[in-house]
Amino acid sequence: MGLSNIVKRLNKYQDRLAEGKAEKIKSRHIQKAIEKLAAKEIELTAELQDVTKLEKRKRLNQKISTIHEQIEKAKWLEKQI
Amino acid sequence: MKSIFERTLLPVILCILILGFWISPDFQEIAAGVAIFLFGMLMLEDGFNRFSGGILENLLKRATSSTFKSVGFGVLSTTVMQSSSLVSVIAISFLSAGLISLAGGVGIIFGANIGTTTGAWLVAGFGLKVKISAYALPMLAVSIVLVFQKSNYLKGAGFVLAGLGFLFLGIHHMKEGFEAFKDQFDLTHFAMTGFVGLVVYTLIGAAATVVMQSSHATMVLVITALAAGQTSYENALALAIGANIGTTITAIIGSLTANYQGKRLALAHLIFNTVTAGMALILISPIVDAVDWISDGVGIRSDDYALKLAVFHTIFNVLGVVLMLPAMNKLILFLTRAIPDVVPDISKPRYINDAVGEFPATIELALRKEIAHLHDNAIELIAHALNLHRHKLFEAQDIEAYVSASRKPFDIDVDLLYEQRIKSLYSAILEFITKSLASDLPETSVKTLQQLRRSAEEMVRAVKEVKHLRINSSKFTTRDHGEITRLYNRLRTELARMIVEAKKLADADPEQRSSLWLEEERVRAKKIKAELGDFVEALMIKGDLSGAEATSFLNDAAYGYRAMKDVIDATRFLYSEPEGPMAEIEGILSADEDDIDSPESAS
Repeated sequence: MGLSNIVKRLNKYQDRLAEGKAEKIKSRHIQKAIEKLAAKEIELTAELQDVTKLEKRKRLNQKISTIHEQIEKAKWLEKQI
Repeated sequence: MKSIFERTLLPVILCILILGFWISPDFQEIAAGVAIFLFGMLMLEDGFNRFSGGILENLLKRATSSTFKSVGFGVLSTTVMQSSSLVSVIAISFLSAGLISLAGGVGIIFGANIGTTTGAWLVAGFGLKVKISAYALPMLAVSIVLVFQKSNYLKGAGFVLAGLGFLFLGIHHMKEGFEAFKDQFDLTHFAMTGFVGLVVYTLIGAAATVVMQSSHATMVLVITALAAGQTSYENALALAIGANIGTTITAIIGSLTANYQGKRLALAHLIFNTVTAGMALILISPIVDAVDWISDGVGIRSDDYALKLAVFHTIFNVLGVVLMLPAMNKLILFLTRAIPDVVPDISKPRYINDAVGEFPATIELALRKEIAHLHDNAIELIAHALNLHRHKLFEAQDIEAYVSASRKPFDIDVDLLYEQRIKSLYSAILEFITKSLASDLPETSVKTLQQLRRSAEEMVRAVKEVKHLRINSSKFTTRDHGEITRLYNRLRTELARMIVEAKKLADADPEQRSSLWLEEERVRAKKIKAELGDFVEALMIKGDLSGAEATSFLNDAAYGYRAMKDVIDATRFLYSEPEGPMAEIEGILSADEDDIDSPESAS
């Protein structure tokens, strides 16, 4: 999981937070974001069950993978916050 | 007729003022008292407007779920804000933006009429009994400290306090003015008795309220005049009835730029206040008896006409609500028949109008709905330009198969449809945003409006991109031309997939959706561009594609890629959080353009 750009964005956020230009992210906010992503992951996984066309399965798997990475990044963000 | 009235009103008022100043210096104090009072009301409105965007709107949304709650909210908000006109205008604004129902709006109007009676109690029971200016001056001094604070809520509190201070100061000057005035002139010489007196003074009360745009100001003027013995009790009752009719003018003016729902509410206000006033005129004797009976019961002196006027004002407004509430459903039925629903014209704005442009929450809500309307028009046009039926596309299990089978060209003029359904609506949206940004909006609302403007811009750009690729797309997909047909079908399919994903986000539960759901599509759009380029090169090497065909397709693929990106970005900007911690999280987690240019680094 390459995190260089996300770290840059996190640093920028923390700078703005220190200047009073951003609202503080709390753990419950990240949990809410994870909840939204997990709901999509469940929906896509259920959709995948009925798909037989190889190319569509590949696309759905790729989308699930991207969502999963987002969840992992959100968990990482929670630790940093 | 209207222009003659408009042209003559100002000179007539100025002439009356100058004549009054010339005849009596004490008239100056009364007029200045009214002016200070009205200025106070403006400051109160300004102060409460600063609370909108949060507290006020949330309260209003929750408070209109039942008739009882709507009436209660009308009573409470008017009592706090001391302006039934402001509450009526807010209700019209929210109804126009689709935030509350017509029944909820009518309930608020009913309640506002009861709430406005507290003003008479405040003045008759407090303003005349104590030296009110003693409170006004410290309030003004404290208010200015708050007004200069950074926080919008503290500023709002400062304006509210200053508003109340000026109201008190205005009442003081009116009271003093009438006290001094009575030594020179006895206005009771103009008193009229009987039915003619009732009608004439009702009309005077209505006219004074129309001019001052405030029934509250009229009531204060009448109460202070009554307390100074400058008007008879009988005529004061008629003036109070007239004020109830005159106050509907503010809502009527506010509804002129509102949609049909706002106009219905203004008509409801007019009907309710006119019926209540008519009933009060017919039942004046029993109501006056009831006032005496209640006054005796609660210990109001028989010669305290100012307080008795407050009792009268309360009785006839409460009676009006009690009588009209059972007929509320019939009233709503009448309103919907009298002002029918407007058949939606998809080329015209449905939600944004001048009536919603007063409060940040209604501005944002109406704008979101209007941009969703623009998106809807744009997606329909994009689908048709690609010779696809939008609804069949959304239902398709296999998008690729549906697109390949859609060979029949749509007989449409895309340029004309763009002008009619996109450009006109987009112009109205831009105009509305520009006008809203020019007003004194909170910083969070400014950011939201800027983000929504980007959403509209991106979607309009997507339509323009698709317009460019339509000619070749139609040319090569209505009949099988070999590989070039497959290439254009691939481009159409990818664009169709993006439209479907955008639709899924738009249809999702607002509490559960996240713009991060479209991250894969953002990366995918970029990948498609590269993949198609490689594919075209391979076909050229094999000799399956001519140089001319390849050049045309690559140009169109670039339009297609940009359209995909625009559709996805437009959707993200419309449905992502513009401000706050959730927006910060989405901003950190979502890929920026650098990540998308080199997807490996993002994963």
